[in-house]
Amino acid sequence: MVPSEAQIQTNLRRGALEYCILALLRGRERYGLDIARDLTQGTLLASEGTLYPLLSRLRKGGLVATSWQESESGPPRRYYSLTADGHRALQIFEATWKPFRSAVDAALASGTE
Amino acid sequence: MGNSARSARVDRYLAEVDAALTERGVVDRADIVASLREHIESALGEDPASPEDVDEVLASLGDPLAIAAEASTETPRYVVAARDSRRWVAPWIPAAVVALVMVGALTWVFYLPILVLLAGVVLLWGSALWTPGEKLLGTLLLPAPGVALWALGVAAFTTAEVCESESVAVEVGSDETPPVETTCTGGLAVWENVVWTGLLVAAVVAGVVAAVVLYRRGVARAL
Repeated sequence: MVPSEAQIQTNLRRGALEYCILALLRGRERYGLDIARDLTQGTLLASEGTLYPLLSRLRKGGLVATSWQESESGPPRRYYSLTADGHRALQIFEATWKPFRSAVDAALASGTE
Repeated sequence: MGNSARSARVDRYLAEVDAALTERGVVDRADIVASLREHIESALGEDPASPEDVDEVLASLGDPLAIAAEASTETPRYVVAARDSRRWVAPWIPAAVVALVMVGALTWVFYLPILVLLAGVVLLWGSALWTPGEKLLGTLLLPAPGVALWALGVAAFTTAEVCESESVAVEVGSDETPPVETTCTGGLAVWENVVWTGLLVAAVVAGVVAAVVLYRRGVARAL
């Protein structure tokens, strides 16, 4: 069976999405809805709801931390921030991703010229 | 929209997520459900939200089963095999369920089709592609068009108007014409016809709508 675009997208997201979340938290802490809106702008998140299992896992893995903060409108919000381990994981991902991306691009380009 | 109606809608959605997470044995389910609730509250804000707003927020959160699927996959998750932990989720399952149940119901009076119908229902309940509510809906509504059409056939036989004619014997040779009495029984009044036709159409429409919904959701989740 030929995999569909949606299946390929699902598989590609699986390796990269967590690190994209970490990257969004670099430099500032953010709350869930804010992160979700950023990720669904593109094709990274299939639906906003799937963000929360990921955040929960990242928190359990010690890559992000949460804190409650008052909001101007409505109830207090849970803010997510990068931990020291989260920073390190993000750096390692970046170092791995760039050559990986170039290798994929080079492979896709070969034979098309 | 009243706050109670709004929160009933939200509660139902979160209960669906919670049930799906429980079914997958997800440990962090309280945490996930709490953060989803928070997301919904932030998105709707303090102002009374219209039903459309609530629907929109819940729609962009997405399918409860998709959230549960994400929660139950382990890191690193490059492996496609993650979805194999779910039972009976092959892409052909939705079509098979709809076909087996609907065809089985249409012809259930015969011996074999009742097994076909049962096989369809077992497949529907055994598969991880649908929520318990959807399964119940499918079990009740998918056979409806078949049963309705079948009932229509029986009704045509049993409620048809029957007329009997009786005559009294007369002496041969006499010029008397034998009196003939005709009595008719059965038949439906006009209003009964209208009611039954309405019910039949409703059963067929409900069944077809259920089939389309279950099929489309099933196929989307079989990915």
